[in-house]
Amino acid sequence: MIVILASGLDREARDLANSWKAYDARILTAEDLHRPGWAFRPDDGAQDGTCVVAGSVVGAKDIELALTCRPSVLPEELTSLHPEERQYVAAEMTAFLVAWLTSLTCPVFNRPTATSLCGPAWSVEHWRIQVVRCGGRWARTGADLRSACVIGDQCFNAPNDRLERVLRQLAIAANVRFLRALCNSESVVSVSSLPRCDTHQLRDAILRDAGLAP
Amino acid sequence: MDAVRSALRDLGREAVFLDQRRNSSMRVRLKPSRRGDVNGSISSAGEVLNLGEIGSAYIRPIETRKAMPEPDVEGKALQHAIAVDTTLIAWSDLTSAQVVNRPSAMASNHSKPYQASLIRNLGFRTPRTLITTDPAAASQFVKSHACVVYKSISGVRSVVSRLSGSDPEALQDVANCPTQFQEYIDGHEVRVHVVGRTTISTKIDSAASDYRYAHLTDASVTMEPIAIDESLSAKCVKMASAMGLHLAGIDFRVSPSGDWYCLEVNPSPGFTFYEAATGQAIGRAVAELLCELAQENCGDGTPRNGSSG
Repeated sequence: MIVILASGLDREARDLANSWKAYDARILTAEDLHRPGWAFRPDDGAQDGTCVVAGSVVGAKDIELALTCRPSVLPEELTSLHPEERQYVAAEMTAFLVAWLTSLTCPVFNRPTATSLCGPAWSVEHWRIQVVRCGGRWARTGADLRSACVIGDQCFNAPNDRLERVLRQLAIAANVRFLRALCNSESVVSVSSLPRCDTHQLRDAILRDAGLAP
Repeated sequence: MDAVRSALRDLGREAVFLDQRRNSSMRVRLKPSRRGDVNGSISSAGEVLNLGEIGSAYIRPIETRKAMPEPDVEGKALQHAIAVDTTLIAWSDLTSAQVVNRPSAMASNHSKPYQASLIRNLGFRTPRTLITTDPAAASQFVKSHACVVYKSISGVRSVVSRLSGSDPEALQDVANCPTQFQEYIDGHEVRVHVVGRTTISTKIDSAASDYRYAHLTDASVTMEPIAIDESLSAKCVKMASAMGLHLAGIDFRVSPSGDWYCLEVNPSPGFTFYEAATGQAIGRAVAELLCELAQENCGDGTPRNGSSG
């Protein structure tokens, strides 16, 4: 089973789940976190526990790949709760998922950090400095932008070899297996560690990196 | 913060205090280099601080909005203040100056079970824990332990409460949100402050489930300095170092049979609570650490500025 952590309203996540139907891909939403069925004993690891995915209770050991398409659970998503409780419950759910995702032994794109469910919660300023440290240039805007992507050991659609080296270095600095950047021919304009797989090429690369496809 | 500033003054050391409440009048510029340095400057009220001159920094940031004086809490002033904080956080994580503590290192206790896994990996015992939305699993966990506490998973509303065994109905509520249950360890608490390579330890006796909030239940709290084993002290220093922390407040619960359970590592400890009760000079130790780190950080041996904020 592939688990995609995303909002139920995330159309791209739904498309991705549909394209990975053969792998039993399902979306784990915030609603799943307030349904009975989660049991996580941190001392034993997540694999021995149960979780709720798309409304069904499943064994965490059945998850072969987790893809996190959100940095946190947002209070605004918890519409069934009293407004005063939403912020606290969202923080609790996010903190829980950080520990649970960290504990999973299957491939996770991207592994969480203490402040984000998907890689580091770096500010634009932090990414800018890291890009320069990796030998690249940063621009606030640019024309002819293209979206380049690092997945594991592969880099897709980088404008040139120099920027490919920069992006590979950046993924190592951020300790992520998935990294996406908007670039022009000279510079990086923005970076994100949230997986967005809008082409078959990127979806297949993730499956290969996770060992689910040849 | 005041305790450290005061101790730095007593040591005759120069420190610059950056007040978050004055963010709206600050300008911060960072200049990264390919060699990895992050220099730049902070200017405020006509004065300019060269970030490259900072040898060590002690930071205790709070949420920007909470730090802002009332008239500035909306609009452009707030946006500017958030941008200043964000830039300073990036600098704190990336500068070659020594920072007590770097924001990325301080983040681990935003998720208590995540931090507990780090603690276990570093060789400390932690209480048995279950996080669940399943009332039956919660009930089973409660039955299998003599006494159980529940506590928040995040750093929000971080109060520990003992579960009353006579109220099984309350366990139905866990379906609303993952809830953390932990076996209650009978005994007393010990707070070990790691300051650089040294430790300062305080024993706490209280009937309250969470001694920090003992006043809410009229429970008494007594605190006294204690000496801990050298090997345990070294292990605490090693754990703080592995978590990237120069300063940490490590909470232990010690069972009547002498087993030590690590409950939490506080990366921004409010040490004056313990200092006031025991007279232990923790603020002075932090100030000395900042001086030492500034000295180490400067290749030619010339002390650089300390900074706090």
